[in-house]
Amino acid sequence: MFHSEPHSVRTHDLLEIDANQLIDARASAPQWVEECLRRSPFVVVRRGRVTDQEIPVGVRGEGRNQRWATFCQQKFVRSILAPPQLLRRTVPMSRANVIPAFRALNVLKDRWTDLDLPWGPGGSVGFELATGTLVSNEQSDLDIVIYADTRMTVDEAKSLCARTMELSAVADIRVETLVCGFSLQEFACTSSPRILLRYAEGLRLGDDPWGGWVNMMETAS
Amino acid sequence: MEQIELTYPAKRKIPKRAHVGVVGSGDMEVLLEPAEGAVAHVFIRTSVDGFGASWKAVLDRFFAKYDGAARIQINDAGGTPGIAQLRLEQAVEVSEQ
Repeated sequence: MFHSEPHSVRTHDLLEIDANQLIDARASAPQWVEECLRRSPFVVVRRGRVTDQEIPVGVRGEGRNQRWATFCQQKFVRSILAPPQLLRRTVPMSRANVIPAFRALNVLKDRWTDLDLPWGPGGSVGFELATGTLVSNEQSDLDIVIYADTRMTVDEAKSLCARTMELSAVADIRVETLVCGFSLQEFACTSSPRILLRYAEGLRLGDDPWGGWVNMMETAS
Repeated sequence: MEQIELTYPAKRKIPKRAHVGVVGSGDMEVLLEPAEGAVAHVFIRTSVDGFGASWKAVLDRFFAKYDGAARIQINDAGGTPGIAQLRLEQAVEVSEQ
């Protein structure tokens, strides 16, 4: 029997999907979800366990509180866009003129030229660069994802953080290791011996973002 | 934006202040400071309206074990009850270390 390899997706990736198939498979979806997906057939990969069949995803609506969490079958996926691919897209001048988060992204590209880890925009800025749908506004934060498969030092994190000062928008930076995600700012600046680590299985406080999932009993929902 | 205030009984002084977490989206920061008297005051400022009962449930659970006389400020940017629970635990850890 024909067997295809599952797509390799990570949290924050944007998936272009077959909207009709996803809508048909999810009869319980609110009306706005259907309208959004028909206009712009993209979903964002949520943190969670990806199986051969299904990917945890979120649908982004136009309103701030319009988010809908669901699962998307692997076979509905048409293409995958990761934040580092979006970094190579040019910010339209018309958007940079009115949206501080886009200006902040352009400045950060210049300030982080020496960063040799893959990184790129997530959140509303990433979604807009991927889809062309105007979801960012004047209040939007600049969400950034950095992929650190190997250990980053606190000094490296501090140096990156220092260069996010006085941007035109607040930069909210998530570092993704092979096992979990965490806040760059928290890792760089905390007085706490343990920081908040986000695993596919749940949240926990820990001191080693590059270590494995140790104790499932400490999971918080 | 919603502000919530809660008060709980306390039995002991706490050693020092703690500031943990970040105000990035889907996260929260917690500031825990020593306070006078036999009471703990919690001030929650959240970007998401209408979750007063959930906040009270998280804090009730926290104060079922915690008896420090503290002023606790929580600034929430759309975090979950699970994050609130871990941030409070983290703040106590720093405050008592």
